[in-house]
Amino acid sequence: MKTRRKVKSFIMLSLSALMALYGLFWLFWILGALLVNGFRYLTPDLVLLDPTPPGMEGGGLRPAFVGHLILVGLATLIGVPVGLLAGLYLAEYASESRLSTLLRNVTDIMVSTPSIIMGAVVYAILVKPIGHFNGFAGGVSLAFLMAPVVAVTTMQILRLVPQPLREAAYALGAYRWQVVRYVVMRSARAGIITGIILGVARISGETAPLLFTSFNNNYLSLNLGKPMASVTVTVFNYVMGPYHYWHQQAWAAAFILTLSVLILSFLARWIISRRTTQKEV
Amino acid sequence: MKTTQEAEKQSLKGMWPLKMEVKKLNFYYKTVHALKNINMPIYSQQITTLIGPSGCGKTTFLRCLNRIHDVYSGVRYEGDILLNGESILKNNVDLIDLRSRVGMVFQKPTAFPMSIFENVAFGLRLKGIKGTELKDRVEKALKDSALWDEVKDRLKESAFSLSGGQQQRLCIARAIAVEPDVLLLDEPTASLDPISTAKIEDLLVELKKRITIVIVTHNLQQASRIGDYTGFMYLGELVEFNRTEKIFTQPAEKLTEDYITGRFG
Repeated sequence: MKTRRKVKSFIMLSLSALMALYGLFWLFWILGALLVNGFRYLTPDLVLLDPTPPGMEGGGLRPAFVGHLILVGLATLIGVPVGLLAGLYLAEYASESRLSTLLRNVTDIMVSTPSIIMGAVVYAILVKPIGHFNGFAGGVSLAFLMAPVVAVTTMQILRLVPQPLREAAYALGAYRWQVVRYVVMRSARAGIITGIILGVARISGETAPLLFTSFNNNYLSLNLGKPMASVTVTVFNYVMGPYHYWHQQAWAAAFILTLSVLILSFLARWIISRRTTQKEV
Repeated sequence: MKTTQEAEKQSLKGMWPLKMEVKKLNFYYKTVHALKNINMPIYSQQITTLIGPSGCGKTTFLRCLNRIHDVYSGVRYEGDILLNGESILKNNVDLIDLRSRVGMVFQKPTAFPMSIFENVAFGLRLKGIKGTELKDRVEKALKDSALWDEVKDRLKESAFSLSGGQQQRLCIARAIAVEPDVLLLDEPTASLDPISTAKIEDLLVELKKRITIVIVTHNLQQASRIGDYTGFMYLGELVEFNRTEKIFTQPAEKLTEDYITGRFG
């Protein structure tokens, strides 16, 4: 009886360990390949120079990096306030009515919406009527992806704030907005910032929604009304292209992008760990 | 209840002025009838302790006294609660004002995520108090709660840097800084060590000279040590209410006796 249970436990443990190894194997293969190839072709020129005409070796991807920062920045400017306030509403103000339950579920679903659909939606409302691809539409489509992520994390973090803390503020004669503003938001600050960082990380690697909206641009452009380059779309194009040096630049650009997202994730983890060590009574 | 009422007549009338008075209070949470026909005086400058087994409604009752229940929907009161002779259950009662007159301290310390100073200043700032008056009143509250010597050099540090017992005294300081008439405490020492507990008990005995105190406790020794009056609750009813020494030496009800002698609970 006892041995049978032990054997069963051993088999299940081995199986789950194998599966974990299987998943990690591919992950590290991809990251390893990216590290080796990307690092090899990394040069300062990559971010400092504009692309050369196709077929001519050299040049860099400056428009893509600058465009990417602008697009992600714009998305953050739009997505963070919308997501933050939506999360705040859902956690603190929405009653337990059917409508607010529906809203919560819709927000949850929006987090996992395929990003290409967001691109198509923004194409319909911001590209088609204007008549050409533009950077603004790219930023908006990323914001559409980001807002639900920020909303859901904000909502979850706010719900973790202990109820007696709110009651303690009410018991001192605080109005609801004062309770939310000075006690709840402050308690959840680290978590909310983490949510925002994860939101930025989430949209940084998106390609699909940008293909339909900001498209691409071989020249440095700061004009949100015109097509705008991004690292992801450029990598996508370069990888499909015929030139060897394009492939090299794509490797290097992908490496930088992955590294930035990785740094953002670590930053988020660091903030979380700092918060939990600091807070215990 | 009959014998209790007689005892009330004999020993309660006219001893201390009434601060609050609970009359035929019934409380409903959604469909649950949580408190049943409670009548209870709360005497000024006295410590009233509420005892009873878990789930008997002590905390529910305490939370009626500053209507903190009203933060949630689905609550309903019947009967009346008077504070200084005026009903606090009327529709037009200003809850913000009520709660600044009836303060509350919770089971676990509820220090806010800000500095020690700002924690105590919180309620004062809500009232619009600023500048030197703010500083003075924070200092006074910290002195009154016997915390000043421990924190005077670190007022700007996070309140979370304090120990659990210190945080709880900080919460008391925060509550008394706004100078409430009544202070409600819901098992304030349940999560604390014996030394911190003793400090808080001493503090409450000192505070009652100025503030009327109502405290829920699971600790019967605590109730008998610091209480002037004690109410024993069971299944949403107030079984017995009397002078604390009476409750603990000559309880009128069999149920009370069984509880304080540890036969159930």
